[in-house]
Amino acid sequence: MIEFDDLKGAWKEFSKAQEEQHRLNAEQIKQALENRTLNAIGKIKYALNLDMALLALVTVFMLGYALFFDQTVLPLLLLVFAIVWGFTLLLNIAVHLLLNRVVSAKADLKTSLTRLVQKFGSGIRSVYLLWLVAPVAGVFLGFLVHSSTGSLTIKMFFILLGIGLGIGILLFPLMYWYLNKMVGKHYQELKRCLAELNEEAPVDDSEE
Amino acid sequence: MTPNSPEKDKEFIDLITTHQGIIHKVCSVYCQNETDREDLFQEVLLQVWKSYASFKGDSKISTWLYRVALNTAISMYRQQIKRGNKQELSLNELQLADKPTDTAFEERLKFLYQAIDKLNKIEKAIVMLYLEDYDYRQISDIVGITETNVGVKLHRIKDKLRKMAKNQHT
Repeated sequence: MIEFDDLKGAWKEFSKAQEEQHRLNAEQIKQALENRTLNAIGKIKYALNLDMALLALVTVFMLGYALFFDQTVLPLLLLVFAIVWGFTLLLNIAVHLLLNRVVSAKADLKTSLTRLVQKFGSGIRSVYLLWLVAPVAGVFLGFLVHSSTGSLTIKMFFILLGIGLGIGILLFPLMYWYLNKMVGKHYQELKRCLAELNEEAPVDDSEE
Repeated sequence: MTPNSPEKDKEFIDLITTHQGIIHKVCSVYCQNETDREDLFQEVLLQVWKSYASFKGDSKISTWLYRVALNTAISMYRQQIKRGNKQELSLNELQLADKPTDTAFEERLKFLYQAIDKLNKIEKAIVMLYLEDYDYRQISDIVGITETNVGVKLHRIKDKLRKMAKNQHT
């Protein structure tokens, strides 16, 4: 039978072998640090930056067209791009914060995980809330921009509120699926780790 | 790479060159294929680099490195994509170049690797520190749980490993 403490010898040999197999010299370490932008996280950042650049290009092109050729569509384009940019910016800030997180070298694992899980929880709740608030705000803004009279009756208020909430609720499953696909598994894993650390189990004296 | 003084850069590279074994060990325990391993190595390296300026030498370099490496390995965001099947550790990797053929030793080594792989992320951190000869207080400082809880968790891990060893022999 293999005993736990016997494994320490095997671990030391395993560690030695791992270090020999993967050992890097000073130049390779420097390269690894500099080339980090090419790894998986770097690729996500690159894709995000590319998205932002493309969006900026489309925005400039469309607004240029509206300004110089057809000024009647300008208010509508301004509204659409304001909303699109608002969402994109929020999403980018969230992803950059997530990817550029600096692990605290002073905090222990439990403290670090607690902070991270709290941040994730607040972030996800904020996205849910924004998802419902944004279409309502968009519908009201659209009404104010396009309404000739600009007067908002109580009846119209509830109609707009219903339309805005309806859009938000209809598209909610799509956003829920996307958010879960992006960070759901990671968030659940972090919560599982934290639960494991928070668990204070009693020692069973009958064993050993 | 963040701009820094050349002396500080050199000091950092020297530190990593000397203590890189810690990062390799953490990567071996938490990654199942070479791509993940490289990603984690670079991420840990970056986190150590970012934290280096704030390291005042309050704790041992190795303890500080373990703290950063384990925090990174456990909390790192990984892309939710399939990267092929989990890589099985080949017999060649388990055999040590300068070690004479020792079947019992190789068996222990293979068992160790397979057993650690079956533990959850927190158990992996605790058992790794234990195997590195860290005492309960030091493990408690790095992981952030009480010494009693470290003892309880190690007790459970020992039970799990015993059961695994028993199953292997039956």
